[in-house]
Amino acid sequence: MAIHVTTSINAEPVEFLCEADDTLVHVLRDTLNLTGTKEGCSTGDCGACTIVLDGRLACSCLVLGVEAEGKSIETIEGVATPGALHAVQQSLLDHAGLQCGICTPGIVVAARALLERNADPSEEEVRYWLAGNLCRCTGYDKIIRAVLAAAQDLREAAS
Amino acid sequence: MRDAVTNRFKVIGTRSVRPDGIEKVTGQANYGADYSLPGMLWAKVLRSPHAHARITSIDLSAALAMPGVHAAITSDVFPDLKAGMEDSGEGEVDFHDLSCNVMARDKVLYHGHAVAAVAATSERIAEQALAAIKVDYEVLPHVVDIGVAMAADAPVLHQDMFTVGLAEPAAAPSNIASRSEISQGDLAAGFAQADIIVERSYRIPTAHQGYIEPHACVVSVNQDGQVDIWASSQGHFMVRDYTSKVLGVAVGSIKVTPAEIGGGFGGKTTVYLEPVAAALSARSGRPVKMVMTREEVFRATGPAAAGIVNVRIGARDDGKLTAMDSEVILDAGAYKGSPAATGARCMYAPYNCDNRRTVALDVVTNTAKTAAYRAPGAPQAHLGVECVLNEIADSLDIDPIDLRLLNAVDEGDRAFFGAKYRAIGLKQTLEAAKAHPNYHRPLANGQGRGVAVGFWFNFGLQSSATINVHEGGTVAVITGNPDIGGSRASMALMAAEALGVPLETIKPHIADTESVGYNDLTGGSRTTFASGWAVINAAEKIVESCRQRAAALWEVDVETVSWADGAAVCAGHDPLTLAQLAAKADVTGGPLTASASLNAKGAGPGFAVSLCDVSVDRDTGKVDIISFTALQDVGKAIHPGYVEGQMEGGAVQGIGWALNEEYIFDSQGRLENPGFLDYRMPVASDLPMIDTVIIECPNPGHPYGVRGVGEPPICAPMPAVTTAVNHAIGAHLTTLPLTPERVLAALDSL
Amino acid sequence: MPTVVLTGDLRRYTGLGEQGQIEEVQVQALNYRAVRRELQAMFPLLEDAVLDKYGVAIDGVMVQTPLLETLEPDSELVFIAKIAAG
Ligand code: FES
Ligand code: FES
Repeated sequence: MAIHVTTSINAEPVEFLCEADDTLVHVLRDTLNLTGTKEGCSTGDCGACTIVLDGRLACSCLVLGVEAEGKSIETIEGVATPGALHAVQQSLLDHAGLQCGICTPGIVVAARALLERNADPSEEEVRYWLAGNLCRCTGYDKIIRAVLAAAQDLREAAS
Repeated sequence: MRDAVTNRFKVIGTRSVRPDGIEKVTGQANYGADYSLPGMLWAKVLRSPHAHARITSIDLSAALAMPGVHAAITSDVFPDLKAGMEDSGEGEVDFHDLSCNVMARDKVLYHGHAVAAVAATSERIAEQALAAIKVDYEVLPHVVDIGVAMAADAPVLHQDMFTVGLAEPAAAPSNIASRSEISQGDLAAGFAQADIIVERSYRIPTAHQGYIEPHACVVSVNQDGQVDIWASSQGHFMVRDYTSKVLGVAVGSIKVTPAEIGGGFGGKTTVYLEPVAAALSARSGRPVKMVMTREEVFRATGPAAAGIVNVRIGARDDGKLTAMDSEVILDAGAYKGSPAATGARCMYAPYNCDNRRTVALDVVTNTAKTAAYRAPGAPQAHLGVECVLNEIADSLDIDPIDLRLLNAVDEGDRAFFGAKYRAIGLKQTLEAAKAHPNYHRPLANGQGRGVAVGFWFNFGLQSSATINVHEGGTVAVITGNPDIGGSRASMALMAAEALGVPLETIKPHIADTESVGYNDLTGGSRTTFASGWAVINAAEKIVESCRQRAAALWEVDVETVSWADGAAVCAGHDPLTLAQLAAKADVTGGPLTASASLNAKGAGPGFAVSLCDVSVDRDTGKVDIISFTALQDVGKAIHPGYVEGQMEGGAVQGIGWALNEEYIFDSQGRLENPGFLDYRMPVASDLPMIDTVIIECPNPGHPYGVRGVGEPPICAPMPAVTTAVNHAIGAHLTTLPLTPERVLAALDSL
Repeated sequence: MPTVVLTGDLRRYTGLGEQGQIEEVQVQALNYRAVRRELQAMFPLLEDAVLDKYGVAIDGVMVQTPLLETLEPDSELVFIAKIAAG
């Protein structure tokens, strides 16, 4: 029995039908065609599916579609504004912080959330914050540097 | 060589933003699982619950009768291909084995081996239909350990497999697919000259490449037999060619469009899903999408070979090596073809020594068919030789880098694998390691340091490129190798350099199999080298054509026209830029376009050095990497940022393999840890920054001096980490991974 | 005269020296195919199917597909078993 869900995605009202056990990542990707959110494991271990759900980071593979009812969801598709990348996105490009790029949407969403909470994180804080986002290509070095540089850019822009 | 010697590059060597970057940071880039087509079905694979069993019957009827199910298949739908190795460009492939790995015939050879598949209107229905397929098995004894698999009484996987390469033809079938030996000099005499001899046996576990993107494809087969494939792979021409073999259809009836690839590291150099999806699409008349789960990726796609590496090395008191004898035994998984012989040739490559031998054994087990993993075979083999060299250095009280410098190969020396080296940067790289501040950092109690060298041949092979100059002067650079780690950036940089135009005017593009000449796959660290070379050649044809067009416009001899800074120049005339010439293309001979194809030779070998400091917690056995330095001769770094990225990524994969990653099987031969929770790859909080040092000793075989970059980085970390841990605790651990349990046990037994 | 270096398992087919040891032979040929013919005349066991499994290095330059390669009179050609990529 399909269930009707009303929610908000990237500040747009959205409605969809899903089965009771459909995960949110499947709804996003297969029903709503928001394929920027990636699925690397379906068990909450890789972070490729990271979204923001009512202001909190979540693995969308561990959330059911029906749980989105009445909530607000932010995905990678909502991070950049028209004509402008978010500082984290620009910094990842500037620092060669992605190779294959499959982990990148999750990293961007998670790193943005960090910088919204902590404008001046230490290297260690960035490493622990992103410990749930696997990247197999980069060895993390350039990702960490990119996030630290983005934090600095945002601080400078704010001052 | 052109500019490489003088280093007069304009854009090469700059850290430009990659051309495909915006799509990838905004989620717009389409990877394998991001494609869908109208009317598409979802397909799922039924996999063996046994490690080794004979299939006595398969009944698809109940599955086919379910509403929403449109097709179901077993291996019956694929032609039974003849056994035997065929050259596939990147090495040899037995398409009989490949076909049986795609879907089992007669026997299943590992837990997770594909047995049947179903296409249905939804993933959910396809999964339910799998449960309705009835398979009868006759379970057979299994073997998952290479050591056990070589025993005379081990269960034999293939009754028709007789060891190749023995002095006498094998009398009975065996799990040892082949034995190969290379030797030179007189081993006994060499060991007789030695003042010290160290002998050790190392065990390396099965590890997975661990790419974050599971295998995925969409396939549509038309009524006329045309097959269209969208898939993520390390080579869409490979997907086309292998799928054509498994299906028994002509290459010309298959077109493959490359999706973005979410990591491969060698693991996406073969096909698993595409022939299955094609067979289901042909039967259902609908496009079919398949996406593996992470568990399927772990159970049924190419892990890297487990290994046993036995090493015995002799040296004089002054550190000069007198004899090296080794045995490299690598696990091929269910079908022959481990990289044992390749690894065996890599591990001696950095050193001169008159008397040496390697024996390589390729062994099959009831585990998933292994696939390449970055410098296949080399990390396992290097582990043994490099750790033993470190032990010799310790015993002789010689600095381990000095020991290596004393024995290191240089230009003109004959490599163990036979060729004479042209210019190589091993000594430079070792000297840089020795001079690095990280090598001189004082070590605290409980800390240890390790050094190791790695080698990879690097590949050339076939590549094609087309360049189209647009009106307005922008330039489309079309190649056919999936961009796995920033190769669009390097193609753009090389095209801009060769044309002398601003980087921003270059638009790199990766075309489908119909729209550009053939390309061997992205592997062997060949893309920047060989495809880049094709781009350079195509660009030079454009320059040539531009000079001719300018000469015609100026009514001068073409010999008086040269090309500088993206424009034709001739005394007495205003220069004509590429954009100006493109605007006049119609009146000077038609569109400004050029293609180049080559089979690149002269790939330059790559050497890397790892320096690693660890600290070991004596209460828990936990190992922390406190400093890691990766140094490598890359020939010429086209984009230093992505070169460093390869070095850093390879270092961390090596660290993971040394400390955490391993396949764990239960008594029934089932993989117990097919997920990222229990198969633990390094996460950001496990690591320090990785320091990198790029050494540039130009490859004399390439117009810009490029060597392959992607593979040497994983060769040296395992022995460097292992040695560092052994130094920290004063032990001689030889079994990887160095888990806290193993480290604690070693501490307890001291 | 170019020198051909036969390494590793190729020695099984030449019967020169100990199995697996490196051995050099001189040839007249100045291209790869003629080298093969000359070697096959010397060592009948070196069939096409065997040699096809080898690439070569000519004066240090690795060539996986040498069919049309040419040699200089002082060239050195080494047969090297083909390797698999990652
Ligand atoms: S797909 Fe959700 S954490 Fe991996
Ligand atoms: S860039 Fe490939 S997984 Fe992170």
